[in-house]
Amino acid sequence: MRLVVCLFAMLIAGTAADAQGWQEYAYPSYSFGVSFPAEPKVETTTYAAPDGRTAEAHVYSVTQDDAAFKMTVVELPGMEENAVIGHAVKTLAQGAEIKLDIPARVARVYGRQLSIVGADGARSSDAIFYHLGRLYQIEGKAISGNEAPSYAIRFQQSLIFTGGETNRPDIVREGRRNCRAAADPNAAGAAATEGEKTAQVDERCRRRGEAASRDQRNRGNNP
Amino acid sequence: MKLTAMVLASATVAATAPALAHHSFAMFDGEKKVTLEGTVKDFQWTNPHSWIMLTVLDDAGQPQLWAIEMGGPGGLARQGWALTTLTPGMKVKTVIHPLRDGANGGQFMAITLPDGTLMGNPNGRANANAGAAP
Repeated sequence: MRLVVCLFAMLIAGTAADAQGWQEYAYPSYSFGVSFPAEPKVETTTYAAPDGRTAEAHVYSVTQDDAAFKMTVVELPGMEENAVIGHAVKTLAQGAEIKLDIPARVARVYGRQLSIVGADGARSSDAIFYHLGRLYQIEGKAISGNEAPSYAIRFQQSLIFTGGETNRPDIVREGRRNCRAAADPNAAGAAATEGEKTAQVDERCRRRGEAASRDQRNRGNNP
Repeated sequence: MKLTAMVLASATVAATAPALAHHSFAMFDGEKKVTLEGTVKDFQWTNPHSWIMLTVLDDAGQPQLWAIEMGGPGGLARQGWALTTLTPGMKVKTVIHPLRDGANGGQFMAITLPDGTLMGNPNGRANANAGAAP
């Protein structure tokens, strides 16, 4: 396994961020990036898949006195998304109480986001995605103290997916169709008479198109 | 400094997140607003989101740390923000959409700086100031 770790924080360095040590770490080989408060420990381990198989898992983690920050990526190709997500939720929530379980989206990747309180009172902020044949699970766990829960949230919210792929191509296609229709003065109807509104829609669609093209270029595909 | 948490039942429409925002905002309650008065612990000028870590005293006088999520540095800079807009120790008042799970966190809407300068829009759309992509 070849792991390429890039530090983007040098580009966005700031005194406050430096003081806390939060930096963004990118793992393009696994199509994600995430922020940690310190250099993460990287391990390869195993994961009990929903079908009983043992799968390879890559774990990136930082454990501090009052909080634990963990990103897990599991190779689970060819599985059904609901089974993967459901199994992950069940595993995370064992002996704990789920306070919040809602749909989540990061870029064009859709999954679930949870807030869980363990039997020991420890609160965790979690998100789970099945994308590119992998389970992506991010967990920010507050172990003690009244500051840790906030950093757990801050960690969980830092996940990004790189590469521009989606696990909901139907939704993305529909969005593009709607955007083009809304931006087309001939198709927009009433909106075409509202100059400012139309300009805003046009601008939004232009940016979306640029982003899509950029994603295509980054993947080395033809637009 | 006392925590003044004013939960306002807002009739304003919670707009859906823009297509290119980094992530969805379902975890925040766009129908509620909370006003916090506190002291800046950190201003983290980072991608994909900047964060205000704000120490707020609760009703019992105990310090509680709140994590307030903002947009990325690029978008914030276009709205007049800079790395030095907030510094540790600064006393501020901020308006957020709180987390739905009741934890100490929320989505940034507006902040009043010590000199009275208002940044953001406390009555703006739910995604107007936090997380919207450029």
